[in-house]
Amino acid sequence: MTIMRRFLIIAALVSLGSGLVRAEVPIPPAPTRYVTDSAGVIPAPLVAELNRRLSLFERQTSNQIVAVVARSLPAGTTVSDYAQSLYHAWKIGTKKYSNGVLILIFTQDRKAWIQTGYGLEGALPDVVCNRIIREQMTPAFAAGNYGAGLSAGITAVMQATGGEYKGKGQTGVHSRALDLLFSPLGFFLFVFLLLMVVGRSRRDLGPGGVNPGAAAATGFLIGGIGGWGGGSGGGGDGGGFSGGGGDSGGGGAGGSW
Amino acid sequence: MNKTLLIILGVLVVIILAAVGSYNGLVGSSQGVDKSWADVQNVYQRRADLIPNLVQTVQGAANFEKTTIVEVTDARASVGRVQINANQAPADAAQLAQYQQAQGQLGTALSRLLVVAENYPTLKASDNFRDLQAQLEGTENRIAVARKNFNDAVQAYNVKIKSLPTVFFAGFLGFQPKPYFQATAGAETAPAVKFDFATPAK
Repeated sequence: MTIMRRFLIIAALVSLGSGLVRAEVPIPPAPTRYVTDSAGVIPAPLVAELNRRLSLFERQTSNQIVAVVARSLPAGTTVSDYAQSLYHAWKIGTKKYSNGVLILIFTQDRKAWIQTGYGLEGALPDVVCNRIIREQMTPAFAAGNYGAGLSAGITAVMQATGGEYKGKGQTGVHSRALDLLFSPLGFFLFVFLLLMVVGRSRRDLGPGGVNPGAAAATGFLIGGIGGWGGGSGGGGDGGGFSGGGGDSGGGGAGGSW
Repeated sequence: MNKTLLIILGVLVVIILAAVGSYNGLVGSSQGVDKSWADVQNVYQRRADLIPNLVQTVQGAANFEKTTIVEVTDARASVGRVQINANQAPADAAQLAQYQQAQGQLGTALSRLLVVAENYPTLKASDNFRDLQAQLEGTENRIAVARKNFNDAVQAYNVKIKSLPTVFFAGFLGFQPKPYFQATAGAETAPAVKFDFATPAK
């Protein structure tokens, strides 16, 4: 009886809590590039160039800048809510500093938004986001020149945030692979495989012998570790994007044209 | 005989360990609630800090409608009158509701003032006003995020104190359920400050 009541209380609390959350709008998976143009309004070479610049920028400053150009905003949400949800889901910026920026452009809705992570609110206050949108981006968008507007906006964001943090010469994609290698699980796997290889070579051959199977296994192991970085780095334009664990507190500004 | 004593001792040790474990867990998530409450306070304070500048700016505009300014300053003053601990999440639902109502009134007064400001083209075009508008809008977004994070933290805490085995210790150790921010009509209309995108409030 009391257990049943308790259960009901929990159920009521849980449903109350979730009732406060606004209607769920589906969140697309994180992009694998810094710049994604699903509206098809930006020339491919420019997208590639921006990706290259942003990858280099992350290596130098550890700041992650992600831009998405889409046709329209999903129904039932506002630009600011959607930007916050995407930022939170995609974890832009490092876990430690949340130094990321998300730029959203909706061509049919004629709306643009710059969302800042916690760590860049100082370098990129709402007023500056608003000015970048108003002065660098929307005039070009109004003229139909999306590439120039996006490029100018990204450049302005890079200029504003460039001095804030120091990079480690690597992007989120690379550090993710290194983290795995140095994580307890990765280390355990490494030792386990090594022991297996050594153990088998001892058993199969006498001392002093070289087991071609063991050598191949070791080679495979080392190759596999190397492959994490290389494989997921992908792409001919200087690497992809992978969120570093950052979050946003709702900073940023928008504009329309 | 000796064996049963050992078993009883063992059970006791397990119970004490479970109690210690759930106590530590409760302290952790209670502090999580307090931390997110402090964030809520910060963003509300940030909004309050913008008001003097906003009032000064709109007063500079030729014959600006005085009633909306008075509403904002009054609402800000009544927020200041609500006694609330900034470092500890409120335990009393009525207190939180009162605080929320005062902040909600301030939000409504602010969005009304910004809508009225639309009728003053020179004011609207001034850099100072545009900057303030961007700041206020960003602050409203931060408030929404901080409130959501607060409710999430409270929810995690409340579920914890109601679930097994913590439910056996929580009340005894003095952990009570904490109240949420309610999604009221006022809270929903406050973000009408984003009048760049949404249709201006009624």
